[in-house]
Amino acid sequence: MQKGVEKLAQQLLNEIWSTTELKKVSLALEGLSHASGFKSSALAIVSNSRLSDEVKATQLLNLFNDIEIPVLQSFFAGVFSEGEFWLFSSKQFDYFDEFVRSFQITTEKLQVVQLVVAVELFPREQMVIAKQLSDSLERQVMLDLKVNPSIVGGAQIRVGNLVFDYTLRSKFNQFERQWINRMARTTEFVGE
Amino acid sequence: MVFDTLFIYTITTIIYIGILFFFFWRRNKKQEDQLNSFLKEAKEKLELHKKEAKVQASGKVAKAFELIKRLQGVAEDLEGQVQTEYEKVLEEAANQKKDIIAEARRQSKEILEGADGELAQYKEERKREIEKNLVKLVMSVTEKVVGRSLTREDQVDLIRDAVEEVKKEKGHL
Repeated sequence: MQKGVEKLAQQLLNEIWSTTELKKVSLALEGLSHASGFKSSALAIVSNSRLSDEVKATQLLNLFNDIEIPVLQSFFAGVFSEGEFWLFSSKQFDYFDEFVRSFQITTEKLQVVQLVVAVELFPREQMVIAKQLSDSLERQVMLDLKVNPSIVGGAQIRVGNLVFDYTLRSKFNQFERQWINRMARTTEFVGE
Repeated sequence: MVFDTLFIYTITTIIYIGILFFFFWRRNKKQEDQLNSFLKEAKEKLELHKKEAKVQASGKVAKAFELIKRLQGVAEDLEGQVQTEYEKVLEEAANQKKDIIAEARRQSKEILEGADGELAQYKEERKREIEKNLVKLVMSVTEKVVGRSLTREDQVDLIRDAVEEVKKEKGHL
């Protein structure tokens, strides 16, 4: 079960690409972990042998209705649709707590990459970028996305202490400096 | 007889008178000689004193003349020295005046030349500043035009390009 918990935590993490989303999910899971009513209700549903798996799945998902986090809801919908109710099936051992703890531990291994862009990015676009960066860095990347229209275009990417500035603003600045320097050199060379 | 007696008395009286006269005359003469001798001696002493005083006075006068002469010599030397010093000071003052005038001319020339140079430099700096501002203005307009003309797709493409660039920098990560 321990491996199952870790695998499930990793699966959930694979669905998350931004630090904002991660924070929301993490807080929601923490809240559920401390909500005894939620866990006892889940246990009651899972233990009820008269209910079919589909009904169990539906009723369990209803418990997540209050949490308006689509990623979390779709993740648990996928888990329950496969008939995996073991997270709430034991009276002796709290697997859900284990799952939450495992999730928190796994998040510590993530690489946070700060991405400054000029326009808002859709979740799908964020996911593609995060995947690309994960491939490059050979670690799962979590995007800390910031929108700053003053950069005009492109992106500024910070990985740890390294900053890669591929913004149009920096290119314009660079071009401006070169232009001024060349003009000064030309004046020196040619005279007034 | 009476006559004779009178005569004898008379003669005796005359003799007495003669003797007294002689006695007084002699005494008087002796005193007169003594007085003359004293006077002569005093005169001689006076003459001697006069001579000595004259000699001493002559010596003192000679010394005084010599002193005056020496003082005159010192005064003349001093006057000569003062004159020399005065001339020297005048010469130095004249030289200093020349130097000061030359320095003032040189400085005024330098100031004028410096002012010309500074003016030229100021002009050059202003020109460069204007050019710089012009470049900044052009770049600012360019930024705005480019920013407005970029579509959302263009923006996403630029972001993907940036991510691709980071991939190329993999070695630094």
